[in-house]
Amino acid sequence: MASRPFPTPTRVRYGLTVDDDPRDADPTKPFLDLVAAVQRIAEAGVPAGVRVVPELWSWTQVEEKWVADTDGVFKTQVMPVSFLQVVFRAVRGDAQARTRVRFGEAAPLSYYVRDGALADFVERSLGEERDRAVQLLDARPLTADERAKVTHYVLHNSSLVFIHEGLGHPIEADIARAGGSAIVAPDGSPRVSPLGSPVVRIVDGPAPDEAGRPMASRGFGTELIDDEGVEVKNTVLVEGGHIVGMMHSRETAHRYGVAPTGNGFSELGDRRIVRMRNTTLCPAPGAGWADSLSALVRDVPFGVVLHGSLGGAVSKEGMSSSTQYGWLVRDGVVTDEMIAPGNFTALTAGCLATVEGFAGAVEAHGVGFCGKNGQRRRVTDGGPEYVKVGASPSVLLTFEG
Amino acid sequence: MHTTMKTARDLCLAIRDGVAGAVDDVEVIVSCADRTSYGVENDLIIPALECDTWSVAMRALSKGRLATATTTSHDARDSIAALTRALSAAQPETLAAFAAPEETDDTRSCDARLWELVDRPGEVRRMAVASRDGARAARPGAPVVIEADVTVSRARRALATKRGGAIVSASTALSTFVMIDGNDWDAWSGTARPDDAVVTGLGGALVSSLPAREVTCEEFLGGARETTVVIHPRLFETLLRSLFLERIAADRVLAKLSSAREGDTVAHPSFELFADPTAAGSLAGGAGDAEGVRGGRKAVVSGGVLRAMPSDRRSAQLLGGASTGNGYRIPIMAEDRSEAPVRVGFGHLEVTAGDVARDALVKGRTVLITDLLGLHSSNKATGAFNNPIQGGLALEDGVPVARVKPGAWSATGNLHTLLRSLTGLSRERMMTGSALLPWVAAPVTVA
Repeated sequence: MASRPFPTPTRVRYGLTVDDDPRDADPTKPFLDLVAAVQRIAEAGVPAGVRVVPELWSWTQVEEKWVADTDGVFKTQVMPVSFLQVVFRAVRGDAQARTRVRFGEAAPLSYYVRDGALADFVERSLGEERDRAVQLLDARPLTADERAKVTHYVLHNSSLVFIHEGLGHPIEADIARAGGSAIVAPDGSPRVSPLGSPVVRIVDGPAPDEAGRPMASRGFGTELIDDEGVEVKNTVLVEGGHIVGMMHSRETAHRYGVAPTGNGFSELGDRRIVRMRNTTLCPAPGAGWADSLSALVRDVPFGVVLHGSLGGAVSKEGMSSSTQYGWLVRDGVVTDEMIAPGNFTALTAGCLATVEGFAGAVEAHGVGFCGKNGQRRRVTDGGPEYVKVGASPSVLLTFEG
Repeated sequence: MHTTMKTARDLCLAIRDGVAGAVDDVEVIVSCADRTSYGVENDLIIPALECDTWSVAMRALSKGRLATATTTSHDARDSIAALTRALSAAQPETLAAFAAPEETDDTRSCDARLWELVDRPGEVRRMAVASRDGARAARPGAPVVIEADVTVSRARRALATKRGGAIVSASTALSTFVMIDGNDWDAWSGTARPDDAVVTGLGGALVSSLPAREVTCEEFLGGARETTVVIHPRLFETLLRSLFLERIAADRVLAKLSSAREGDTVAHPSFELFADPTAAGSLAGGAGDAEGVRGGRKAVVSGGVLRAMPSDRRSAQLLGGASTGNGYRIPIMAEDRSEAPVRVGFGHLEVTAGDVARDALVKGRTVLITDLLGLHSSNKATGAFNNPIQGGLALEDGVPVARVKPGAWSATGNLHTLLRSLTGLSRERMMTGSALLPWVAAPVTVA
């Protein structure tokens, strides 16, 4: 028998176009442009007696990945990635409030700043978050009586980290196999069925377009191949409220007798584990969709629209994520009563059961760095612009003391 | 050990000398680390080995501008080239000069038995498996999900500047943890090899210590309320490092993110906090900070009053004083440690013990809070936290009677208020690996 060439002599190339490669073009000027723009925005339109102190983090990189093994895999990937985070701290006397906004994309830095000017969506968003930080100085928590009256939580897609923490991690095959998932048993069978209401559909893979269709070239968590050379699949995890798939590395796929899904990643030198990429609530068209936020809340007697998160964490039974601010809903109308930062806690097994509806375009909005097993990985979470969840014992909103 | 220390020193000095002539000042940190780790997930045993991992972190000052660069190369020419390239992108900098450290060899946190253990993965594996088996044996027949890990590591580090050094150090570390059913956990870490039973017995000891019953807040306390809880030293350390530092660090004050001043009352009069960045045997101690400043043991808070704000060289210069030796490369988000800029941080911490036995800190029904889920998202601006309790115990007159039901409890408070409202500090203290702290009692709202 003829021996197989090792490695395969023909390299399979994957990658995205890099317009302004930081290896060739000095990125110092666009970074300085970013600094100047953030300082300008922080100082603009701030009321007397209030200071807004900005903090900016940003980086851009082109990552080259080469994967070769004794089975003959020989693949490479070139991936530009850029990241931008701004924290606005509003200070008035001893009172402080803050907001944080992040942008991340499989794109060069020029996606955010070009020829000295911020992209329109960045400029607009930073201005809004500066204003929110100032407004938060006068925000209030819900009272105990109000919390008891809440009938619905409406989650803006900036606060959907629970999709990553509460639904994504428990459907990673290595966590399920270890008995660490409250919703998938070690043999791969659902512990909870249905997991959510019939309108719930969750997907991991390339970032979705506005209609929820995968776009291979978009998303902060996007890769074209994983660290084992497997092409990234658009993996449906939950369909019609039922768990229909898991995320796999080659190793877990072999154990479960299924095809790998392109979720095998590791930091160089660390153990290969199952990681999420862009994990998104992508409901199918049809029932459950409203035309707008105002239509979505029309039947909400008393609720709160929650925005933003500073991160979350998962345990076996549930998850916790912070919320940055909210707006009170009374008698079907979103008011201008601002709600203080809080914590959204959900029991994994029941939190999707009361998802009632959606409004707005789907977007992998939440940019983050998942720290599973001490290994950092860029990811996103997201969904429709607004997700309406009925109050239940499985979800809880509490407020900072 | 001494051969590899010399290698790190030689590389550090070669890089420094290769750049020094072209800049006003230069600072080079070289480290080389090895790590042997075994994780256990029930029957699955997962090795992770890391050998000869080099990192080089460099800063240079030239004409009032700062350039930074990092590499993972142990060829001096690569690092010299990287820092030279970075000079073209140097940015205006207030820091006038780097430290001028004295030549030092520091092996105080290096244990020869632990150094050698890194080369014996089979022994590390045996310890991890024994911890798991001990947990299983402590609850025979019951389905228990066990995660465990034993990691041993060693590092050589050298720091030099144009005007001083090198500070050369060797250190070792062992850390181990075990988690039961994804909720209750225990850990041990230190710079010296402990008795094997400390590592191999961790799982069994944890399972044996857990009451069989679990309770909700409604069942145990009748619902949400403010109550005096006991806070575990590990959680207390996390709160101090993430939220208290934000209030008192000199760089935060200079950025006008905090109005703290020395002399402010920041805690109950019984509270005394010492920072000792040079503590021997601590994972957070060393011959100097990341700027080569050798800070000594200092009272940060005594009698509840802020006595000294931790600072790095930049913030100390702006405040017209000397650095307290608290400049660390603290990574945020996806930064590697060697890439992170110098930020003010805590090294080793100590809080003076109280005079009350741990189990007498509280009376009646309350909880011991071991951990809070998602504490990294707590509010650094205000000191507020509001998180689910993970791995707590329900106490009656200080005695554990039940586990807190996972996902059924949350804790809400504000660290700054909590410190001022302390009702007790235990006379027992725990060495967490990086801090020596008592259990503390303070009012927190649980729900």
